[in-house]
Amino acid sequence: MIKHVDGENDKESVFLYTLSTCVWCKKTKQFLIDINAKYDYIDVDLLVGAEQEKTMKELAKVNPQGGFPTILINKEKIIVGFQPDAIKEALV
Amino acid sequence: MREISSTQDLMEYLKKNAQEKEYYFNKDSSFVNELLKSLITNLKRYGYASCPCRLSTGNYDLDSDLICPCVYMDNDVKKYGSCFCALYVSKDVHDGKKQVGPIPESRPKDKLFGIDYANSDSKKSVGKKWECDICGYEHLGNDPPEKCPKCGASKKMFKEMK
Repeated sequence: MIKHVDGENDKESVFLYTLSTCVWCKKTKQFLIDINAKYDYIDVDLLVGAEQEKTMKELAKVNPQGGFPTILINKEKIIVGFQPDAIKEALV
Repeated sequence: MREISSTQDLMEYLKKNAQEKEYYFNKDSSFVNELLKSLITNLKRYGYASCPCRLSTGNYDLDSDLICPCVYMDNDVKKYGSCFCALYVSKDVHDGKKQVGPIPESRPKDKLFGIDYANSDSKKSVGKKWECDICGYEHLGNDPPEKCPKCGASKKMFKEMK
């Protein structure tokens, strides 16, 4: 259920934990498209049963504070919430 | 009482709620519209309009704190100037005297991650079905909810369905 969005800026790996209903998640996805960044995302609310549980456990490890969107950059840095300046700084 | 089935109905219901508590809707109407659409998605998906910015389980008892306006709204608006989603804002934010950025999650951790997924299917885990006598909202659980999430009617207005 992981979806991929292509972009030219592919220096870093970008992974988003999102909700399909979350407006801030939508803004973040759009912002990444606007700056032409390549990214992968998973809409956790659209997962069911064990798959959702597994993903939430993964998210709890990545971001113990919780919250959507959680953006994982190069598997080490996280940004929580729609923060265009922080995303830009991390990617450019 | 009309059924809440459109964004217009939901907006009226939530706006009234905001006015009573002296809070405001976000000024950005297209943003508000997006949020309302997502709330309707959740209403259809779960049977209650739970917070679109948080993950619901589909089990009313586990999600009841998330039904818009969520129980964290009051404190978050007072503390940060807006609720978690930024649907509701304080007077200062509404008047443009204050800006808001992303605000931290104030929902307890055990509710965020400690969800009992194995039992989260409310239809399997509970036997009784309740119906709100005012609006017809259906609730699954051992007891009726304290307050109808759809029309706000009190617990005693719920009848057990056979």
